[in-house]
Amino acid sequence: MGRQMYSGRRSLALASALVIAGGLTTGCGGDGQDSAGGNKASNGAVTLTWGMWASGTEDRNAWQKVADQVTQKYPNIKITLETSPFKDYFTKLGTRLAGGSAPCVVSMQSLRTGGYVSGMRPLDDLIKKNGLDTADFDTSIMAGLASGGKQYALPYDVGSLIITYNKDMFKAAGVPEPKVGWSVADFEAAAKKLTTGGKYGFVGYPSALGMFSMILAKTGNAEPMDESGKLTLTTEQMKAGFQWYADLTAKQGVSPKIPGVDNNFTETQFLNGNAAMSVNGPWSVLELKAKAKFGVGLATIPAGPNGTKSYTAGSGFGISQSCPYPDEAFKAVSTMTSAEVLGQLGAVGRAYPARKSVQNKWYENAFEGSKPVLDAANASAKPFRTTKNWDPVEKLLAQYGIQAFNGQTTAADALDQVQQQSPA
Amino acid sequence: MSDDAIARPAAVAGRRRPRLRRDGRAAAFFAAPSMIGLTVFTLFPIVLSLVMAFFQWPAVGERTFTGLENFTTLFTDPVFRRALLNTLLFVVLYLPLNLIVSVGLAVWMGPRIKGRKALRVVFFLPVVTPMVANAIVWRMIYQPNGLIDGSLYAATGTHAPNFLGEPGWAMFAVVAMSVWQGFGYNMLVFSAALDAIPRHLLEAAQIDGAGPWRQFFRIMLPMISPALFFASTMTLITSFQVFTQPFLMTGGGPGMDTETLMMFVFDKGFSIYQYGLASAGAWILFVLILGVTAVQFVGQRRWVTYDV
Repeated sequence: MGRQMYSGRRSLALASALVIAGGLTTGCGGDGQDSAGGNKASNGAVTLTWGMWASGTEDRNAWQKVADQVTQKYPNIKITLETSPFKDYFTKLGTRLAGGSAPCVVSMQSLRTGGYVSGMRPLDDLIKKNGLDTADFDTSIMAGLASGGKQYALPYDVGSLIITYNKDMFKAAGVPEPKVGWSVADFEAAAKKLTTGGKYGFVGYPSALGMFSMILAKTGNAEPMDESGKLTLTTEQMKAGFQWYADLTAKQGVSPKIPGVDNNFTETQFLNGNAAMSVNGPWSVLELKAKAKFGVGLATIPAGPNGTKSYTAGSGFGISQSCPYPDEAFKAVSTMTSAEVLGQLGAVGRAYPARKSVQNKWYENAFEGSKPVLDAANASAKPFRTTKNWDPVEKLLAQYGIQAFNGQTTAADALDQVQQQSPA
Repeated sequence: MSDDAIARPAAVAGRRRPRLRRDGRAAAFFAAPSMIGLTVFTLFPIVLSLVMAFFQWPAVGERTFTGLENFTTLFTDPVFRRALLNTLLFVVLYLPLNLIVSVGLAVWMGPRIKGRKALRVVFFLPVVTPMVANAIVWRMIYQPNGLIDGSLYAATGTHAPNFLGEPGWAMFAVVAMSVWQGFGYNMLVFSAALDAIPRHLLEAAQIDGAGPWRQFFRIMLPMISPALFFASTMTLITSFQVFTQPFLMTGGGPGMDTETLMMFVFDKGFSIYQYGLASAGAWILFVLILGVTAVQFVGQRRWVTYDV
C-alpha cells in the first residue's frame, strides 16, 4: 500500500514538474506575429480588431456597418468588431492594455481619455503624414480626446448636456414649456409645479456629467477640476452648488429619493413618467424618444448668474500602443470618422456627429425645436475635463452623493470625502 | 482494511510491483490534463499574484519592486480598514443568520410535512437564480415606493426607511438579501443530515420523556454536527468574499457603508489598475480566511461528533 502510494507520488511530482515548466514557458511566450490586436495574411490583407461598446444587437449591427465601410474603402483591411456593454468595456480595455493584447482600434470616451493614454498611441504624426484635415471636427471634443498636448483619438460624436422633458406632464400640470435660455428660477418653479400626486418635476443623480453641468450653470463658475488637472471639489462655490442640487431631492422634494447606486436611475424615472425632467446628452435623446410613451422635448440647461452654461462630452476612435499595424489602423479610424460615415450615423440618430459639416443630418431624424436648443447648448458649452483616474471619482460621487441627496449628510461633508479619497 | 494488508503474503506484493509502476505512469498520463489545467489556470496565477503583491504593478508602464509597501499602504488606508470592518460585520451578521434559518427550516421540513420535496425545490430556487436577477428584484422590494415602502404606506400612512440609500440600513438590507439568496444550499445539507439520523434514537428519547427542544439540542444537533461544521466552514469562506450583492445593490454606498474587501480589491484592480495593491489586498483576505478556517478546524474537536 505504502509503496504504491510512494511510486504514485513520485510520478505525480514528475508530472507536475513537467507541467509547471511547460506552463511557465507558455505563460511567458505569446510573442508570435499573431498579436491579438491585428494580423497580416500572406497576401498582405490586414485584419484589425476594433473594441467598441454596444448595448444590444441593434447597436452592434450599426457599428458592424461602420466596420464594413472600412473594408469597402480599403479592401485589404478587414475589421473584427468586439463589443461589450459600456461600463464593462473600460474594465476590459484596461486589463487588455495591461496584457499587451488590446484591440488595434480602441474606442474612447472623452471623460476617460486621461486614464488610458499610457496604452494608446498619439495620432499627431499619423494625422500629419496622411494630411488629414481636422478643422471640420468640433474643437471641444478634439480637446476632450487629447491629453498633454497630444491627440489620442479622432471623435465620432459630441454632445452638450441638455434637459429632456416630458411634454405630456408639462401640459397636464399647465406649466409652459421651457424656452431656450430659461433660468434656474424658471426651472425651480416648473419643477415645483410638476411635483404632484406622487410624480416629480425633475430627477437628479450624483453622476458627474449631468450634475456638474447643472452646478456650473447655477453657480456660474464652479468646476470640479482646475486648469492643472487637480480636483477642486471643496471650493465654497462647488459646495454651495452641490448643496443646491442635492436639495432638489433632500429639501425641495422635487426630485425622487435615490434607492442606492443605480446608474440607470434617471433614465428609468424619466421613461416611467415618474419625473418630468432629466439631464441628458444628445447621444441618448433619440433613443429616449423612441422608448418614451409620451412626447419628449428638449431645453437648455437653466441659466444662472453667468447665463446658459453646459459641458460637452463625446467619444472617438484611437489606436492602441500595442497595435502592430498603425498605418492600416489609422486608415480605418479616419474612414470611421469621415464625413460620409458620421453623416450616416447622424441620420439614424446613432450619434450627434463630431464633424460640423454633417451635423445637420442629425436633425433630419430629430424632433421639432431641437436645433435652436442644441445650437444654444453647443455655443455655451466647454469640454468636461477629468483627472487621470476618473472612474474612482465617479464611483465616490455616487456613494457619498446619494447620502447628500437623501439628506443624510451635507454637500460639504460628501465633497470632502470624495476629494480626500480620490486617487491623485 | 489493515487486517487484509497484514495478512497479504510479501511474495504477492513483490510480484505486483512492476504492474503498479506501470499503473503509476498511466495514472500520471490520465492526471496530466487536469494537472496542466491546475498549473496554468490556478497555480501560476496564484504564484504570480503573490509576486505582484510586492511590486508596484501598474497596468501599463514600469513595474518596481516595493517590498512590503503595498501592505503598509493598505493598512494605513482608512477606506481599506473600513472595508475590512464592513466585511467582518457582514460575516458576523450573515453566518449565524444563515445557519439559524437553514437549520430551522430543515428541522421544520421533517418527514411528516406534506410536499416537502416541492418545498425543498422552492427554498433552493434562490441559490440557482442568477444573482443579478435577485439583486434587481430585491432593489424593487427595498426602494422608496417599492414593495415594503408601498405596502407600509398604504396600510399605515407612514414611509419605510430608504433601505439601500440610508446609512445604518444598507448593510442589514444586504445581509437580509444574502441570507434569502444563500440559505437554500445549507438547508439541503442539513435536511439530508437530519434524514440520516436513525429514527430509533429519537423514538427512544421520546419514550424517555424528552420534549422537542431537548430532542433538538441533545440529539439532532450533535448528530448533524459534522454537517454543521462543513456548512459553517464553507459559508464563512464565501461570506468573507462577499461581492456581488453590495456591488449590484448599493455600489458600496451610501458612503462607505457596504464597501467590502472584495469590492476594494476589484476597484484597485479594475478601476485604477493598480494590480500590486489589488494583489496585496487579495492576499490579506486570503490569510484572514485561512486563519479563521484554521481556528474552526481546531475548534471542531470540541463540538463535532463523528461517532454514531
